[in-house]
Amino acid sequence: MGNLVVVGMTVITGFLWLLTKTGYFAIGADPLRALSQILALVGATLLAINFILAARLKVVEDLFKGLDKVYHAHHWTGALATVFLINHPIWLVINAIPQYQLAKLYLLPSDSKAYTLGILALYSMLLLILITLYAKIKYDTWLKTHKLMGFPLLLASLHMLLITSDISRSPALRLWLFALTGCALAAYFYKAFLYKSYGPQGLYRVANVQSQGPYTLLKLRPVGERMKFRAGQFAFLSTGNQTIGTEPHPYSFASNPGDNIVQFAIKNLGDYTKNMRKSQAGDEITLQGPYGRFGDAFLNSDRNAIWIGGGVGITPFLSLMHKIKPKQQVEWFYSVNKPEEALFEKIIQEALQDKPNLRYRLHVAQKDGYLTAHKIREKLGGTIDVAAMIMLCGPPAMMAAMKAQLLEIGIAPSNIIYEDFSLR
Amino acid sequence: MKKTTKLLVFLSTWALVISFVVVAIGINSSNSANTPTAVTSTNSSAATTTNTPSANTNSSSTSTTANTTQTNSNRCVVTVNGSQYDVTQLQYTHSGGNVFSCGTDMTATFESMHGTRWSKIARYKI
Repeated sequence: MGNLVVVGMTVITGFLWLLTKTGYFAIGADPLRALSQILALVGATLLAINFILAARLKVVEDLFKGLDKVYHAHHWTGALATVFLINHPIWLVINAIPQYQLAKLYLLPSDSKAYTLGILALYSMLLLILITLYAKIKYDTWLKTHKLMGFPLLLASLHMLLITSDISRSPALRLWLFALTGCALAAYFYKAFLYKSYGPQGLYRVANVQSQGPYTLLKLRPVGERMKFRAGQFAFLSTGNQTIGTEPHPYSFASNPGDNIVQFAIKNLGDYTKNMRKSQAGDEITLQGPYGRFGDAFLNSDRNAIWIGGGVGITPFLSLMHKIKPKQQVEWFYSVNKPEEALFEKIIQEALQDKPNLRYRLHVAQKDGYLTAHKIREKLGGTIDVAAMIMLCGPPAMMAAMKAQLLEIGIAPSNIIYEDFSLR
Repeated sequence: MKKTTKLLVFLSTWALVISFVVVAIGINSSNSANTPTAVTSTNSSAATTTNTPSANTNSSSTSTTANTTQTNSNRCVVTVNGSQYDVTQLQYTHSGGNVFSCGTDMTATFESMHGTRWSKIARYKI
């Protein structure tokens, strides 16, 4: 749905642009210039949408049904906007050749303010995009470079404002584009400067830290009002501790949404996650959120479900297991590499006592090989309920493999529910 | 999807680099080829119509004495509805593209696109 809206907005831009043309003649007389214009307009539209997507607005998340999907759209709109905007001067240059002095005007800063602004916008954006796509740098360094994106956006907006073109001639196109870029600038300003203090958040204190193998278990107690979240959602955790790192990282709630104390499980992967185990009882942790729609389809229906949690991906199910309705039958698979990694075995076994419609199976890869869709089908007696939703949460490689296998054995794509946490 | 978008950005970036190189080569070769005869060969028709003193004062105020001749040689003047207009800069910024045939009467072309709204080009009048 969200992607359709993005495409629709792009079509509106194209349509308004066509209205500025008096007929085929206006485009046919100078086709390369027309191409360059539409590339710029569509690029600008996608760029504006790209910024709005990055602001983590609830209404946008509802539209896309999950923040992970919003960020996917953020990624492809950003990349396509870059491609279109790079091509904008390229086609002007091709159009100008052999008037090389004129072509130079499209590539290098000159006396023309409007052109120079556009050129600087493009180059600064391109530099930041190349860093995002190709540079292998630390997450927090990358985040800092990515936050500078507002600068090219501002330059590009000024370029649009000053240039003599269809934008300046057609009031409708002008209004549409400036509304969009205005929203984009506002979204940028909100996310870059206001979000940290005024975005949806809750202040918590560490009640308990446990280290267990490669995992850190955090129990947090709210300082003020507790955050209201739905089972299956996640929040961005940030510590106030400089040695741990203050940049926020996303983790699934792993506790009953009704409980006052919230629990998170963190796998020690990078510098930041390794440092998390150094937090102590009493430390302040800010939760930004809640986000995600992973559990919604399950919570809002009576359908049966198959849960597949790999490693730390078990966490959303620890929250969802409190919300199983009497009518729902749930088959739960917990896949780990070694037996000692099955962190929540005890909690799960306790919870199973009063949940006759939840069946749980621990799968240890070291002993039984990787968990596959075929093995799941086997364990379920040779058939998978076609009406059941299959919910996946785990490492990206496992989820990709599992999804492919499920499709292979004939599961409908709409029955497979997963969230992709690789937000960068 | 990430691979495709990466590839597209990669290819576009190279296209931009290539257009840079092409323009640089183009400027270099036209400079070396045209230096001695620029005034007469490139824009002779424009030059013949701009030999009025007022025309010279209208040329870009930012240009230095050293490249005044260069500016003059590239000047583009057209006639519309009986008046002369210096469209040298407009060639670059005209949203309908560089449609100008320097040194000619372009009244018909103007009217076909803008009607009789002469005020649109009043600021370029010589």
